Amino acid sequence: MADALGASVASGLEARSEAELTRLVAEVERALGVEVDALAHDRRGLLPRRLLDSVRQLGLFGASIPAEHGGLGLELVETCRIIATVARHDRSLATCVGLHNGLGATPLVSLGDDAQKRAWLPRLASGEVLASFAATEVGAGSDLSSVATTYDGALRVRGEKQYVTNGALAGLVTVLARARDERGGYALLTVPLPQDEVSIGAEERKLGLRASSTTSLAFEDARADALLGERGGGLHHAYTALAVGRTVLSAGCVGTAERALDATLEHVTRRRQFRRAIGEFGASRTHVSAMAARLYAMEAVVDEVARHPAHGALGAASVVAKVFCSEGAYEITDRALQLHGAMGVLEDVGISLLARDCRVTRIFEGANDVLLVHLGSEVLARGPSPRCHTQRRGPHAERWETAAGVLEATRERVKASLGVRAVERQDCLQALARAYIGLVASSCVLARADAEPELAELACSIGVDESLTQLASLHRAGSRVELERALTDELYACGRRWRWPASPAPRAPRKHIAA
Amino acid sequence: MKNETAEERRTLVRETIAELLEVDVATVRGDCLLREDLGMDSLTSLELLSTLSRELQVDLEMEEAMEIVTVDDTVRFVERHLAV
Ligand SMILES: Cc1cc2nc3c(=O)[nH]c(=O)nc-3n(C[C@H](O)[C@H](O)[C@H](O)COP(=O)(O)OP(=O)(O)OC[C@H]3O[C@@H](n4cnc5c(N)ncnc54)[C@H](O)[C@@H]3O)c2cc1C
Repeated sequence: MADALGASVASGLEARSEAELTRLVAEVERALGVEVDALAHDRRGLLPRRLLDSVRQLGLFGASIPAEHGGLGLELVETCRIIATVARHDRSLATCVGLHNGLGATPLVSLGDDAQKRAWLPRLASGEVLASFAATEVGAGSDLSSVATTYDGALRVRGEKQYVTNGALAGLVTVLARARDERGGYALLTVPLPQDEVSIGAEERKLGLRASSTTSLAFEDARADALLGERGGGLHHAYTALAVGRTVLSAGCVGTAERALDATLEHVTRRRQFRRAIGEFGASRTHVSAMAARLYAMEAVVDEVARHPAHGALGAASVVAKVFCSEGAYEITDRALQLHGAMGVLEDVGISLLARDCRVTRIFEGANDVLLVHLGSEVLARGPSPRCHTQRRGPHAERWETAAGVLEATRERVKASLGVRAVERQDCLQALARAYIGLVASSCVLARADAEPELAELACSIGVDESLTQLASLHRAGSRVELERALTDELYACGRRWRWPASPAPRAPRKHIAA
Repeated sequence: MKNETAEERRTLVRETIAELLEVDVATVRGDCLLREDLGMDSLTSLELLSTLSRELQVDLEMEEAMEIVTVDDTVRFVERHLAV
């Protein structure tokens, strides 16, 4: 089955069109539907070898790798569709395949020289060799500039990396390290595995994505095969690869959310309470329509971002997609869980697995809190204005224009009052970033409003409302920030364990003694 | 602050960078590239300008942060703003 599918995948892609892609996605969907039991993989904490073999035969490990090197040569947006499909079935598998195609293969595809590409890409494309990306360390999480792993003139790598996805499966790992010389510049190096000088830690036990391999890797003067790109350019190259990785991750969130919505629609139309299907209650309709509208917007955002991965421009756009989709998947799986009642928390039903699996997407490939601060500083300093992707007029486009005007005015006001010191106000930066994200999302939705007018209307008004709420919150932010600072200083300093604060005992009412 | 010598201001800039990045001030040489050698990103560059604007009591434009490439550029940038 998988062989035939692999062949049809490959031939289908020669003349790719929207219809071809739809057919390809459907075939991948059918194959995974037969083979994938995400609950079983979660319980066992690993992906069966047989399943990985099928994925190899399907060609999915070569999705993003150019056809001349044996891959499917898909565009980023097409790879995203494939990863969303995989995530609908199993998030751990999507993480394994997505990381390999995104962060794993991207540095080699975009920076490797001919010899490096010829040596590795065909093996990555066939899935004979799986790829990893190792940047994080004990002392370098959100702040990758503080990595302590080093390399010398002979490209020997020394140091320890943490939380490496595909760590126990990989045959090639791209490592972020610093030169062991006076300048200490950053570089990306490819290290082949296994080798005696690299030890692989035990599998981490996690909240979700339990079947996806996550290990530490310790390098004791391990032999790197090549230095990718420029010496000193390592951090920049890592950020560029992360932008691709985040876009692919966002597509995984779309798949997770699609699965949650499908399960919810089935449940709320079947389960009856108070003599009617629970989906008929107004509160349930609010949940379901919010889920559908958010999902519609998530798809629109990933589509737009992944279609325009112009060099450099993907940075901010991928942050928009990552924050919007990881939070969206979290919201959608949580609403699904609520509507399932007790069944939502039973492991065998599968909804709690979706919720557990998607939680980490708000943390890895850049914690959302940190990404929002970065995006906010971009919005403030460089002022990318969200573009309205449609010529359509009408009340929604008009509200969108109004909100975009408010964002512009707020940005100018913040700059005028705080100057460069605004970067120290994370509340401002995050609110500007969220306002920007809301506008980008609703603009992407407006552009495809013809297809689903009701969904687009709801999604657009949610996005614009979110932007305006965020911007309005800044009017009273100053005093709240002061309060938060004072409160947390006190909490950090006193070092006591929190206990239910004692409230003054209610006083007995004073008796009025009549004179 | 405006009365300090150029050398004192250079030291202040280097010390501020060292403090921000938690590195030894000796490693922050004038020709160091902020991004490639010291690992600063656009947000850290803005934070650097913010600290300098407070220490030196000058208004610095955030749009210009992106033009600063080396430690010496930062010193020159501050000098330019102190001169006006
Ligand atoms: C399952 C899994 C797989 C992973 N796979 C990989 C991989 O393949 N390769 C790899 O290199 N890494 C990987 N990681 C690591 C991941 O990218 C990091 O966990 C992530 O970047 C955050 O770093 P940290 O965990 O050290 O959190 P920290 O940096 O300690 O941050 C914790 C929290 O502190 C706050 N915070 C920190 N800095 C700021 C700031 N400047 N402003 C405001 N708030 C802030 C935020 O709330 C943040 O969520 C993986 C992690 C997990 C859990």
